[in-house]
Amino acid sequence: MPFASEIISFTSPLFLSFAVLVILLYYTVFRKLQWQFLLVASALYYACTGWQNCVYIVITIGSVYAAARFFGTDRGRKGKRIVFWLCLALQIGMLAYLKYISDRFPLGISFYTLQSLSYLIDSYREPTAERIETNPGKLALFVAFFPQLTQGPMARYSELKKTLYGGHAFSADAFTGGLARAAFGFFKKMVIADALMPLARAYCHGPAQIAVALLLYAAALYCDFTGGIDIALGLAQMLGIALPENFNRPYLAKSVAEFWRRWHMTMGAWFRDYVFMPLSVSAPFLKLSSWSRKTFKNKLGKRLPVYIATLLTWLLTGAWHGGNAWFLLWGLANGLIILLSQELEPLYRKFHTRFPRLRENKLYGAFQVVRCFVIMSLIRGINLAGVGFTPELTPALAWPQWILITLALLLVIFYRPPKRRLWRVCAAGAFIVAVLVFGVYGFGYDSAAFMYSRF
Amino acid sequence: MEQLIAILNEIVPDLDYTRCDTLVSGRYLDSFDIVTLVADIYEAFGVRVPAQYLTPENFDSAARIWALLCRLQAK
Repeated sequence: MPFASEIISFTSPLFLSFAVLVILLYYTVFRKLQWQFLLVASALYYACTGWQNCVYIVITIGSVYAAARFFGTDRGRKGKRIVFWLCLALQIGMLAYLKYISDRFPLGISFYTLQSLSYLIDSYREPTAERIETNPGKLALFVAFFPQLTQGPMARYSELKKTLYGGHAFSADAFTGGLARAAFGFFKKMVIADALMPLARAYCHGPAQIAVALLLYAAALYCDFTGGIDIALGLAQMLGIALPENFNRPYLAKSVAEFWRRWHMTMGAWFRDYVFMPLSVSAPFLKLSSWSRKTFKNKLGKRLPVYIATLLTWLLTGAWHGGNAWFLLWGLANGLIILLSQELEPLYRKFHTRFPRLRENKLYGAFQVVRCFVIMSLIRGINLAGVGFTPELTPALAWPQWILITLALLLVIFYRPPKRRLWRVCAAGAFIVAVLVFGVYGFGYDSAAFMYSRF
Repeated sequence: MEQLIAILNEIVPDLDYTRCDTLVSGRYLDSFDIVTLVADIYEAFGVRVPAQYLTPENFDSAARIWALLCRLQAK
């Protein structure tokens, strides 16, 4: 693996060296120029993905910056509307071209495009001094901040600006908290996800083993994605910067809709706030609503436009994940199941009125969690076809390795970040030792890429 | 206001809308309910609520929703 591309992967020793150097210089040499230094570090990091990729991110930053500055002027509403739609079309067109047509796929483009669009839309809706960034460098850092660039979480400008640009004195609390979190992320990715993913592939042979494969894949995907996010959030926290949370124990969800409120939360919130809601309350959809109410004269007539908006939103969510039909089908399946549970809501209500104590019953709660897990695993099966998840013949693990992975998974389930500073350092040390002993690492080692970085 | 509460009652019944001030932050109303409510408001009052007003601050209580409607009507 060439030097430049090795630095990009969170799990490469080069990236770790880069991160340590950034943190050191951030609190020492550049303590009075912290955000400017982070911008240079982020630019260097991104340049390592290939200088040609930088063209696209520069176009995104430049066009979004110029458009937002234009929204802040006294120009007429019509001109602003034209600029808004042109800029929106440019970002979406560029993303669609690079994602579905071109052979080139700039790293992180799906994430930074959505983050830039949230800034564009917010500054168009409310062109106030708080919403519009006048310093192009600061906006560039918001779009390209290196810990979150490859797989999120997607932040909103109004939130991130509170901590991204301020001078941060070194805080032992924030640093140890971030260190423990990042170390936990490395543990999840390098000890569990990288070990489980080949196993999930190995178990894909034969229908009887599919259930085991889906279970292993669910655990591997969780550790892979949350591991990457923990590293991003931990790194940012060590720099004194607060990124938004992206997960809230998703496998404890009791319905598909709740699962999406717990899994990849920043993406779900993006599609809700910038696609589903604006679409549902747009003039054409309100007219459609009036028509369907008059035509069908029942609950379905009232709900129909909302249902159409839901399906369109999920189709777009599928398209954002990938260009092939499997992803569209995956999006549609999510949307249809959420709509089905909406339609069944009166039945649920009747059922729970008949059995009022059931809601508090732990066994029933466990049944709901398992039911949701099975449904999500089946939906994920479609997604696997989308990413080209092909069975592999991998030698089976020996029983000590199974015990080790089971223990590691139990740790992931029951681990809570320690409150005391000393314990945080101990936890970080223990995770690092576990990665060194049980993980696979070293120069030239091509750790499996994070699943979500391919989106 | 009474008409608004009647609409809310149809969307999520059995809630005291005169007192509850955590409709969104307390998860009584989800995004589905909010957009349904906006369509109901459009039908009943002829007021279109643009997307930028769909915030928890504007929808956390019946009184706040009513205040928003009055603001939008006055525009």
